[in-house]
Amino acid sequence: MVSRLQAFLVRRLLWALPVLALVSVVVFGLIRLVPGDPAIVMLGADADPARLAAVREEMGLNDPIYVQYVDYITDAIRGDLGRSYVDDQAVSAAIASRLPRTLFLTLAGFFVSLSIAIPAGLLSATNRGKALDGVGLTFGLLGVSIPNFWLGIVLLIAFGVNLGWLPVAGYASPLEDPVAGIRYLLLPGITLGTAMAAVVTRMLRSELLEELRREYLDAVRMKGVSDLRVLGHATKNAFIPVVTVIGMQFGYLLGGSVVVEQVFTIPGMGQLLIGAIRSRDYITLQGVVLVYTTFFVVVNVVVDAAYFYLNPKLRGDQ
Amino acid sequence: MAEDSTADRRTFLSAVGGAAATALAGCTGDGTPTSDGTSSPIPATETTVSTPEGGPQAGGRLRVGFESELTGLDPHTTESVVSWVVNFNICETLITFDEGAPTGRLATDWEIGDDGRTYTFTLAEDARFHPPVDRELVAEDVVYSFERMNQDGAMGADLSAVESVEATGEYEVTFTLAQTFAPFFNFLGRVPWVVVPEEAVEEQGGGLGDFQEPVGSGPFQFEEHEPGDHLTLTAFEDYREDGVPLLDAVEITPIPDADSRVAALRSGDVDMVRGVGGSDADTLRDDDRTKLSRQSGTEWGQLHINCSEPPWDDPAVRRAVAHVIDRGAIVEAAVSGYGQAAWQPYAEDSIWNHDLGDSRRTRDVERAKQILEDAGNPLEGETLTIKTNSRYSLMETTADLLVANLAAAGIDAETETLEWATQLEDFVTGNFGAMAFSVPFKIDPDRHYYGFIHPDGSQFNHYGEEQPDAQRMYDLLEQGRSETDQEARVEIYAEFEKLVNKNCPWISVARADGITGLGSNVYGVQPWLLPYTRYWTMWKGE
Repeated sequence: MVSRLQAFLVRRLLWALPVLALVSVVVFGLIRLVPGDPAIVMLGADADPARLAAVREEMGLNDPIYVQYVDYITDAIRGDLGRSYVDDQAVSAAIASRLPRTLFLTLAGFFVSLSIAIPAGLLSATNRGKALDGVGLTFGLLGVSIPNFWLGIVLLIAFGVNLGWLPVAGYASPLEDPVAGIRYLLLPGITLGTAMAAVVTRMLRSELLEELRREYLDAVRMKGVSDLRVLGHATKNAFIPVVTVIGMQFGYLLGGSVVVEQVFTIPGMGQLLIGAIRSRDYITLQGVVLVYTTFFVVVNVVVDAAYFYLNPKLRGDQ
Repeated sequence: MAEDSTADRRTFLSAVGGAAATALAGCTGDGTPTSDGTSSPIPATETTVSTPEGGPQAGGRLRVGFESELTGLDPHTTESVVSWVVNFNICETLITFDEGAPTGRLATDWEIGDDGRTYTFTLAEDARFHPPVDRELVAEDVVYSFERMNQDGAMGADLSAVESVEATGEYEVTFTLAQTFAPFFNFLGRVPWVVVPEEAVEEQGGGLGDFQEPVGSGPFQFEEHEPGDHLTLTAFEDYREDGVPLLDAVEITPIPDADSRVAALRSGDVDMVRGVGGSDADTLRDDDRTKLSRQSGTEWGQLHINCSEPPWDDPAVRRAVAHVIDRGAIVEAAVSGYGQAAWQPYAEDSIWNHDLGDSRRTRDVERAKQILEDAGNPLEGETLTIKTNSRYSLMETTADLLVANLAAAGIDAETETLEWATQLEDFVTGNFGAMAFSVPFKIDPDRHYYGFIHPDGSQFNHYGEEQPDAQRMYDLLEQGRSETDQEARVEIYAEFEKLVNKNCPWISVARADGITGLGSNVYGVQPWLLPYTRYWTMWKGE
């Protein structure tokens, strides 16, 4: 089994390479099609024309676009993502300092969403048509309907400004100061995780209901097994498609963190991305998008691997 | 902070407490917005809570929320206003301004040669660079700094007139200009022209842009910078003025989202936030936990016109539009009244403001229609396009309301909303007929006008020789540069303003106030001529 899994993973990772190459071309090309000269944005409206020309030359913007791409990709393969147009700092260093913050935020959202979704989905399915099910369904509907930037601002005003329980802006590393780290991540985590919790709750509920209706469980029940153990059998099987959704949602959390970072002033990848777009800092933007893409690809591979592991049919163990 | 310096600080405080309180009381107001054109000689200060009894207190850490990230801290290369604010507290310029007039900072005295080409500055003998340099600042440091900042002409036209910078004594430095360039002296008060020690620059790589942990001689020293997260300044214990600064440290955090910035101030996460919008200002004024500080006229909004582009090449069209704009409504809508309707960039009490009296083009739709009719109705069948963006409220509202004003006057018009970077590129490349635009306050009128109009400048208004009074306007701009007598310059720019009002190469709309939010226990903010906050005048109460 292990060797088949290994072969599967190698195949999926090899597929990731052309995906990344394609993304690099598309990102490189698209952002240069967007109007707006990075040198003008950097120097402002009353910049001296000679200085503008000099800055464009320094940035390499006068080189043909294919030369710029080849230079960029050659350096990127060596791990050098270039230096920011705006502050001349290494993009890889900027990403290295911000990525952990975004990952902690994403993990906080992930943790919040699963903490809500798994019990809510289980309770909803096992109490079908009762009040608890109604609560679960209402939560599911609200969760997917409320935009997270709005939810973030409401939580921020309620718990940060009015009650003063939690900080409203900034970040503290949970590794350096766990208490402060959790205080800073709680509201962003809830904001980010709510939508995913709603999706997973609905998915788990429907999969579990379907599973509970299957005939093999009747056989289990006839053997006198307790309801709790029956639920355990059903949940395990219901989780196979849910894991795929959870994995995909993790990727969306990474994307959703861009907005949440803005609202809660978390100096992560999202803020770096928005700053780079506004200042037309092509180099930083390319680096950030490449890292995001790589994460999506890795998440997909992990999800596939988990699915492969959980699903006996795929493993050929049947 | 060492014990002895704390003692110094206390001595200073007891000596100046009364005077400081008086000064602060003099700049206290109720913060009520106005839009009727009232203003102060220089951008004025207003705070909504007065100074408590007992006067300034030493110590404490001021947490400040900035509106954007610090992108580059090398004072000689950064173009970011927030980086200038930081550098103005770390490094020092030769001169600065007090009550709108030049005064010394590193320079204690200066002499301008009769020919207006030599400027000799005597330096303070007790200025010291921060650790680890930890030595006296001397004339050679000024020479080094100006050579560094202008290598490969990096300072462009601003320093192109400077022929040489020489140390003519240990504490004396002389600038010689190739030709007279009157704005030069005022420019010496701006951040890029600060003095830094060569050894610290070399330690950090030596190149332009490498000096990311600036070392200077100012009241605060650089402590640490975690890009995107925070920057910390600490008090420079050996600063030459006893008891300055009052604060132990300033911690700056970028909070780009305006709502989050205001929320952070109200919740007490920060003590001060920059860039408060007009719509949030009333909230902060009415909240017991917060107060406002206003600096009038930090931003000048105008309708920028490309005078070579039909139909805007017709002066009658420009004059008519100038009479259609409802400036007061724009001030109310764009900045909630925190600004003034404006017919020129400088406020009424500034020496650079010329009283246009009844000649100024106020809202008069009938007159606009008459002007167009007399010109043969050049806008018949035309749709005017006003470019703008959705990032800056003053520009967006100016365009929206102007289009509504034009429609009410029977003129077809539409807005074209662009992303800010795109609009900026269109502005610089001249790809527009008219656009709502705004520029920050400029210390010298040359900085506004020369680039807008003169053929040797950037010529953003494309005001060609065929336009009325073009040659006279070019001549006035040249005279404004070559004339060093201030009164004569005032006359020159007064005549220029009259011609702007007559021919409308651009249409001035409004001056918006810069609004800072403060915690109720933060005192000593002194908005002034320049958009740089001086943290060394500030302190925190109980």
